[in-house]
Amino acid sequence: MTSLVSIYMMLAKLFSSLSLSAFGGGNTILPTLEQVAVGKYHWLTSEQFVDCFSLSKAGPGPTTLIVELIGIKATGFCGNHFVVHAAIVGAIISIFSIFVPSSILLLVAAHFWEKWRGAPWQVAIEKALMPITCGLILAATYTVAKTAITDWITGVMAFIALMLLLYTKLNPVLIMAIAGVVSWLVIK
Amino acid sequence: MNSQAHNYELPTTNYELLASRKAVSLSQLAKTFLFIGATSFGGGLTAYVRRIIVENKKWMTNAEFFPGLALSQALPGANVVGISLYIANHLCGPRGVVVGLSCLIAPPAIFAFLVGYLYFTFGTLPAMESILKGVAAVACGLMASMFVESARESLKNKIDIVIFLATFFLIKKGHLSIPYAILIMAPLAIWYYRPRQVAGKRLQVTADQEGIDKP
Repeated sequence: MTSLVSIYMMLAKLFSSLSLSAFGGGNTILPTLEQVAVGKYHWLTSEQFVDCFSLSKAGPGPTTLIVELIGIKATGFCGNHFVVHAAIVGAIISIFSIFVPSSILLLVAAHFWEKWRGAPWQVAIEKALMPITCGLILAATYTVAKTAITDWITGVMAFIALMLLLYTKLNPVLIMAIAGVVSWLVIK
Repeated sequence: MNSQAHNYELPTTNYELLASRKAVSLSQLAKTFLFIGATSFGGGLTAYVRRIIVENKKWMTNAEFFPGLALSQALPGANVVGISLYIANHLCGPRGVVVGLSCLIAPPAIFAFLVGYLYFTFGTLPAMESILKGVAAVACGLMASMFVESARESLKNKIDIVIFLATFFLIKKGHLSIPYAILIMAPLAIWYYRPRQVAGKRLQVTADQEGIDKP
């Protein structure tokens, strides 16, 4: 049986290397994550992995928090019963390992971005990035729409939300809360 | 008399700082990111963050926000964490980054811990699907509204539109991943917008003024 400390080490090593390879957003790490967490270490079954993905997608925060669920399962449930302090340490290690390395890299980039603000090349890069970002956002919108709009009801709801967001100053939380209640009542 | 003179001095020393950025305190930043963290359901989170920071709080302009989004998309990591880091650094510096990101992650992390405990103990998923369908639809509307804002802000001439369409089709039709699309498009776009030598030593970005300069 692997000791708890060595599981902590494995989590830290796996997630920090995934952190730096998650080019293009958090979802790009999922195939590797499944391969290692399910296939290699057997921390959870592939069915549980899919459920964890749904949970982290539905819950607040980035979907990347799936690593926390994996960390909890690998450390808190590695014996016969749930060990709460082991799970808490596992969760904290998982969260730090997945977010800190990529954040340090981005902080360095953001630092120089602010430092060179207004310099001719910075202005040029900024102007160049604007239309590219616009294209990336449309691509992301397209992807979100494909999974979110499943029938005419969700289509209408998305359209009404878009109109409210463009033409009113309503807080999106309010719109989400209303939409949640409406869909709970309408979609069985 | 003395205090008057002192008051007179203050604005001149801080003028540039105040003009370039809104003064946001660490506690305001913490409160806002705690709120975002606790309520960021349903995907399309970068659009949600933009709505709160740019539209509701007015702490940043679209022109400052979108390049930050580009940076966080070009580098590895979850986009919502990346853009939040950029915003926190812009408003409050590195200290703001530590505070902002902790506040962003703590509420959903606690939520995930509780849900994870229940799931691995009892083995069932909470039946929330019908509620989440509506929330996801709103998230889709949020993304679309961010696209509209981004198009307004960034498509200023024909070349912009070409760059925008090329990026979109590289990803959707060429099935390139986002970093590769940026690697291809960024050098071309930067080359087009490169600073050019104008009348002697002064460097200027002239690309969008070309049309006006022509006789």
